[in-house]
Amino acid sequence: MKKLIFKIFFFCLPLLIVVISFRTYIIFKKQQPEHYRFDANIENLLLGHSQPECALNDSIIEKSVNKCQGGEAYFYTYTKLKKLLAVNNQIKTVYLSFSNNQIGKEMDKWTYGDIYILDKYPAYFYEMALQDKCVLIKENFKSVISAESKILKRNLVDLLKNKGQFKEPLYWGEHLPLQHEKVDSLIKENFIDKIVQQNEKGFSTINIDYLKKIVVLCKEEKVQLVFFRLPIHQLLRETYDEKVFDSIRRKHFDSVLFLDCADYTISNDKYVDFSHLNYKGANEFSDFFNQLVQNKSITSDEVKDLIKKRNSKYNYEINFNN
Amino acid sequence: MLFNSIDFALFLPIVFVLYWFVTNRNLKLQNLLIVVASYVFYGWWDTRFLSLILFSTLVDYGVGVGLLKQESLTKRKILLWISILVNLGFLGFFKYYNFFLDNFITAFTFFGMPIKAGMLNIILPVGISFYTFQTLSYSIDVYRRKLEPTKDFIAFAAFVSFFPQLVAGPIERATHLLPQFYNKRVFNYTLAVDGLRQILWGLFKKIVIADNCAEYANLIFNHSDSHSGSTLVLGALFFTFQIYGDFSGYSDIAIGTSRLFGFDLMRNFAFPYFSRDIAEFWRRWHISLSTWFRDYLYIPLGGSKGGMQMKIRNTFIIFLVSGFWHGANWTFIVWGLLNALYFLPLLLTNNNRNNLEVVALGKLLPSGREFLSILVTFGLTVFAWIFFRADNISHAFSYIQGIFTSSLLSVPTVLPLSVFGLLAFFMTVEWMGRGEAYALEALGSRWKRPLRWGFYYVIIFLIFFFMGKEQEFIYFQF
Repeated sequence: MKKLIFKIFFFCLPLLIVVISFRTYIIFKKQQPEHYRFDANIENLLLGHSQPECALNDSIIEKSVNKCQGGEAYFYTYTKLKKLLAVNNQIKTVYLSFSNNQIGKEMDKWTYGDIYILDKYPAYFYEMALQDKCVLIKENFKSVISAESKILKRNLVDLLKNKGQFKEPLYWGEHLPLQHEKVDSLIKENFIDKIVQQNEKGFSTINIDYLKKIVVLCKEEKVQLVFFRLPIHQLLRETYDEKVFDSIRRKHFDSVLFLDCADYTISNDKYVDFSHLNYKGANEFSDFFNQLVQNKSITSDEVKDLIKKRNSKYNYEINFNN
Repeated sequence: MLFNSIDFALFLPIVFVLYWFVTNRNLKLQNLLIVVASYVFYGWWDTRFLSLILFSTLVDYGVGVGLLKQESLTKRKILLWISILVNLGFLGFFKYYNFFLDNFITAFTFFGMPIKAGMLNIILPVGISFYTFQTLSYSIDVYRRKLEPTKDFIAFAAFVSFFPQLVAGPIERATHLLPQFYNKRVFNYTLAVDGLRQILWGLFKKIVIADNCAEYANLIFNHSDSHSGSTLVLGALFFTFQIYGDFSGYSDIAIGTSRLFGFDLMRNFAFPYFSRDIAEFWRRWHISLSTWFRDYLYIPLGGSKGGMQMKIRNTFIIFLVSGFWHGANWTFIVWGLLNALYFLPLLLTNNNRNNLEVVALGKLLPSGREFLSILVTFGLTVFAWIFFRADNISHAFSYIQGIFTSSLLSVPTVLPLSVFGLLAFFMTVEWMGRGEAYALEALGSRWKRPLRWGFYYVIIFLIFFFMGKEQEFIYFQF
């Protein structure tokens, strides 16, 4: 029996050495700062999930870069932000999406669900702190193992295809303009009922915890953190409990400036679905958002007033045209 | 849990350590651990399945104990029939209820008497076709006085539920496996290493060959109406290797795992695709099932005794039942019938017992004649697999129709060169190891350690590189 155990150990040892060496090499290569450096004029970093990924066109918002990614929980945003701030000292402000669904229970799945770990872990593992990895391992050990295997395989294929070079681009998010206009058809299908049925009750403790970590990180790095909420279609808005959302924001994040644009009215043809803007909506809203970003002293109340004025004008124009 | 899963990768070492370090001093404890581990393994799919296997175990244990005490032939027959009815009843209900009901309705409707009946939403318990046959072999062998019934319930429960072979065989005979639970297993280093080697080869067959072929087989079969004849031929070929890699791979892992625990399971596959005729193929494919049918159906029906008519009748019954065992679909029955038709000429000309030895043993290549025989047998097998894989009879026929068109001579639209390369490597290794119990068996004695380990590392690398297209073991659905 001892002989078998020793033999297995000595058989696995070269494999382990190869795997650990290769993994270390991947981490070393992927951590090189040049992958994460922005242009010197970039001062504003836009972060969040698919809503700002689609809605914020950084070619319109001056001195800004959109690093939002669909399906991203704050757990992964935290790792991303740490690295980007470490490499880009010129960043002065971080604009972080803070919306109703980001406090919901679904964010637990976004953090340690199988599909999300398989998607996000390979992108962020080399920058993730050990304690953050332990969180994932504790919640979903199997998916972490699968994701580790995916990392090795993907990078091995990359190396073999590109003669010893890692050429696969690092994907940490960017503006994603969408073409679709599906709101009218979704309204006809009563899709909003489906959304309501699928909504899980409760809050995501882990997402709120990592949001707090982001707040602390920004303080330590001496960058301003600003929350923002994007326009949401009125039908979806009505399904949210605004009181609860507001109470959580005030309880945990009252010190953070909140640019609430949820009431910003946009026509159905500029939405992809009830929560995502298409390229037309993105261009229009980004122009508005640019005004907010350029005014560093703007307050939450001033944003609300701006939106009210803009909506009055918008509604007047709609009525006038009709 | 699947053999090629992280769950099993954690489960096996834990059970292994407990087995050899904690329970090895006490036979009952060793057997009890097997029972507990097997029930955990089986319950991993669905805990509801445990009640079925427990009930089946209790019934057959009770029948065995009853047969021990009974001398009256009538009462012995009653006890045997209780076992048969319970086991086949479970199988019939879970596997065939909806099939029979559906065909019943179709038949009545055809004759102008439509009837309404609700289909039941029945989950097929994993492995039910395997363990019911295994426990039946116990009851029948005890009835025939070929085996002493056991009073040791734990040993019997371990025999029924033994996790390496519980869900997809080999279907073990009580006369072979049950006595192994009566003696404390002693660790054997050579057996354990051989077991690990066989597990490795089984994983290669499953993950590299079967799962990669499955991707293309599914692509072609699921859209067969839009592919050329040559592509459809490739689809049938991919399925041929998928089912072999899948099933024989599982058997290799099962046998290898059993060796780690000191058990010997029967061989289930003996390089069937190198067979020179269909009779040889059926002596080499799913050996545990074909011998089960031979011993418990063919021989009781009269077997080869009696005239040619009886032989033909019994042969057809076996192949049809074997086809039906695989699933509740007419395609399996047609597959069985096709194999019976393939077998018939050999039976009629008394050539069904040729080719008993390994083809071209000791030679590098087969002779021209042997090669041609292998090719023809392989072609017939591939053709029959079309029915096995098709969704229904009309799908099978339209698939075959699609092959025999002018597009048969065109270049296939699906040409995964990497898979062809893997298949060439695989069949070369299989051919080189065809004289052994499994392809890599002789590696231990023939190759020096650096070369041997280097080869293992290549296999492991290929497993790692080609995994990720995980497909469930095909035979789990039976």
